[in-house]
Amino acid sequence: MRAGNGRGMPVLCYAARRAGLSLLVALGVVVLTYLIARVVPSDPAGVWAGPRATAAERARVRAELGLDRPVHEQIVSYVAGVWHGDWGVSVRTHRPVRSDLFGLLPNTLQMVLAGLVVGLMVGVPAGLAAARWHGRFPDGLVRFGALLGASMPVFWLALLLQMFFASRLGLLPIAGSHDRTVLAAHPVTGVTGLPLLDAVLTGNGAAATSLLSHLILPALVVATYPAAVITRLVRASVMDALGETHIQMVRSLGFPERAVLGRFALRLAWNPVLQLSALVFGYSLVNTFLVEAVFNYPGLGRYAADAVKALDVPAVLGVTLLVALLYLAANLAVDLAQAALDPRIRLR
Amino acid sequence: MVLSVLVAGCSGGGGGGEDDDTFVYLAPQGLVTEWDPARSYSDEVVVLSNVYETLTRYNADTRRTEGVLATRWTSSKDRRTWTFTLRDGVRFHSGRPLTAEAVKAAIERTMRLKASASYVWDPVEKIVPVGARQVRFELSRPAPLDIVASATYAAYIYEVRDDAKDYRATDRGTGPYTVSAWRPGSENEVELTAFQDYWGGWHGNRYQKVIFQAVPQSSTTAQLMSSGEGDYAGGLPPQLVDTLRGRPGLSVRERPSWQTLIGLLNTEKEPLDDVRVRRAVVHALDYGELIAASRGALVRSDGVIPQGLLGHTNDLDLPNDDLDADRARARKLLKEAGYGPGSGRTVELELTYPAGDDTARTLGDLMTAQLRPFGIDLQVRGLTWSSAQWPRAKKKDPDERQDIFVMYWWPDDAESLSYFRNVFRTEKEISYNLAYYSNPELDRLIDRVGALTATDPARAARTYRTMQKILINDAPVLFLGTTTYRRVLSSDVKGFTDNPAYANVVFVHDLTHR
Repeated sequence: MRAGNGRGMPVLCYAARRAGLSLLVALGVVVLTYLIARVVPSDPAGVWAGPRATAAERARVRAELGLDRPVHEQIVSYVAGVWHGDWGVSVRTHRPVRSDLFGLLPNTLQMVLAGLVVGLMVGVPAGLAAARWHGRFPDGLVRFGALLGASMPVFWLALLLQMFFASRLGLLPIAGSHDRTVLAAHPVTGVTGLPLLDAVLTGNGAAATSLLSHLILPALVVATYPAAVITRLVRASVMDALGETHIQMVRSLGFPERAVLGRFALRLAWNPVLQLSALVFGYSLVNTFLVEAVFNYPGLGRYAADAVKALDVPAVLGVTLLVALLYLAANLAVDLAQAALDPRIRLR
Repeated sequence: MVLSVLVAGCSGGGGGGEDDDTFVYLAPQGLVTEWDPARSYSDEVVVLSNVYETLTRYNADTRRTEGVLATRWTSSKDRRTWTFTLRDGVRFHSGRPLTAEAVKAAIERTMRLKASASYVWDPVEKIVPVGARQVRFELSRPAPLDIVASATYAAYIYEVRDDAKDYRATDRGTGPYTVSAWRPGSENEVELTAFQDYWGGWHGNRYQKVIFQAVPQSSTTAQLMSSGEGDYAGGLPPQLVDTLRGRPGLSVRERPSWQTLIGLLNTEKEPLDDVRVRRAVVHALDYGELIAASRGALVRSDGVIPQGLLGHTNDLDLPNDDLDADRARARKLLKEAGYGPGSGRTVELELTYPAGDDTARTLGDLMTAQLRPFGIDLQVRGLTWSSAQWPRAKKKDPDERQDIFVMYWWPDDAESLSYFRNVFRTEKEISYNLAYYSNPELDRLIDRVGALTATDPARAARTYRTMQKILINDAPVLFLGTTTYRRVLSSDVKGFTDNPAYANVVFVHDLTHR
């Protein structure tokens, strides 16, 4: 995609071409991860059979998992499997990787999306305020906050919030994704697959309250980095825009400052913010590794961390592939949204 | 909305603290990978032991076996024929009664699969049901079958099904609980519910539900225990246990386990192939300081066999009773071997330990400092057990292997034999003898002592003593310590006893709550 004034291809053709290219990228990711995972000394059969399995038992498992075949055969069979929906079996959980991942994905997506929404809700007004009062106290405060948010280690922030709000004040749950007894009494009916959204959509107040109370702290931690970088970007973009001649003209026409910022200057900042959101989305997916561990939140991140620790190759491959696909999808969605928002952009 | 969430948050957390009849077990990782009771050989035993039962159970305090599914057992004088009488009124969770045929079918399937610790049944030649209530075992050699039948792994009695997949997430046991939910990856991984027809009954305030929660972050575990959302946490690091000690609503229980931390010295690689260098390393270490550095995670090992097992003795004349004499001896041995200060040759060693084990890492670092004055340069490396530490130790070329392999060992049943047979007996294909040690005399004693345990325990104890003496003399091993179990429990829990024969298992039906 690039800015230009030529005749653009229809959006569908563009999306299809990008999807095709994304598949190639995903294939590259799979092959590279597979090769790296195989270079690392590991014994998947040993993980499968348990720490004290006999040599004969491990040999049996090795043959059963096809680990005794040449690497290129294993890759081809893995890729063919993925194409047909078989993502392999985790050597740690002994369950199909795809069902493991897709069972946990909604929790992570929920956390990352909540983090992004909070990030935008905090970052955009904070950036605007900093640009509006550039060089004055609010600007200094926002810049300090953004610096802190961007540089603070997430696990540390997670531990602090957990200790203060959950353990000390008892305001929110310490860990987990829901209250077991509440969800047993008020089961959530699936609509979108995202538990909290489903509970809200089906009017299941008890479940929604329980799910939300467990989501607040992790989502706040995940939101810190997006909020910080979005603040900085909005501040910089709006300040740039304020120097543009058309904004000066709008000002000279007597528009109130609120409209100058909100209607004209901010509009120019939306494109980079959208682009950044796709990047931050990918970053936040990885950030959840630590956040989910601290809050014992069952999601992709905790699963990935456990898989890496056990060198569970099929699970590591599955997580990598899924994160890559989500990342590619987010980028494509942002490109399409940008084209819809900015009339100067043509899709090619 | 946010306010209502906060109010809801205040009124109760996410765990099981609010249900008095639910026991919440906090585990550092997901527990279940294998549901088949014949194949299980890992952490899921913590769950399975509440679902399946064995014929007998070993009591580590009395050092005797007690009846579970069997009420009495007798053996012939030569200990080659054993007859177990089954308990009346026992039913499988399917409702079918426990019979002698069912016991035979379960044990025969376990033996046939050759998985897990099925080797404990190796002496069994034939299983003969005698009527519906008695089972006779005919053995090829004398063995303490009452202890074998109490093993942690591979000794469960279950209803035999044709397809192994049928064991997944369901159960075919006779135990006090049935599996009501299994959610791998979820915070409440496994839920068990009381089996109302359990032969032991449900009188008193017994727990009706058990939840196994996987909480990888130990600080989170500590906070869940403090807030009353967990009833049991078994594997917290010492510093966290110390912070929880004395907190209202919690109690900390400690007892030495049967899990020993050993350092296996590579007897096939220079310089530790020289027994003098091995002995020098053994004598150069200050074990008292190592134990102190573990902050209560370890107690001093008296030898290969921990307290509570046949053959344990505390008069083996281990080094370090006289620190100065030991150090002088270490210097002398190194000098004889051509090393040490002034020789111009340094002993360079590499120690590997299971990554993530803070106690082993602390000990490794301290050993580096302790060995430096002797001209021994010790490099310490944490490697993932299954993917790096163990595979590397099994490399064909001895020079590519580590010099010191630090690992834990614990027995599969209440016998001392596995400490020797698995770790120190000559191996053709490397498995757990990671000192690569071979001594025909020790091999001969190992092969003999199993039968002696059944026929003449006193002689077996003397043989074990001789075996330990051989190991101390040949020095293929550092006895670094014996793990202390430190369990944090809710004060509501009554009747808990920590049985080292069943590591980390809580037999929840034995407990009551307030």
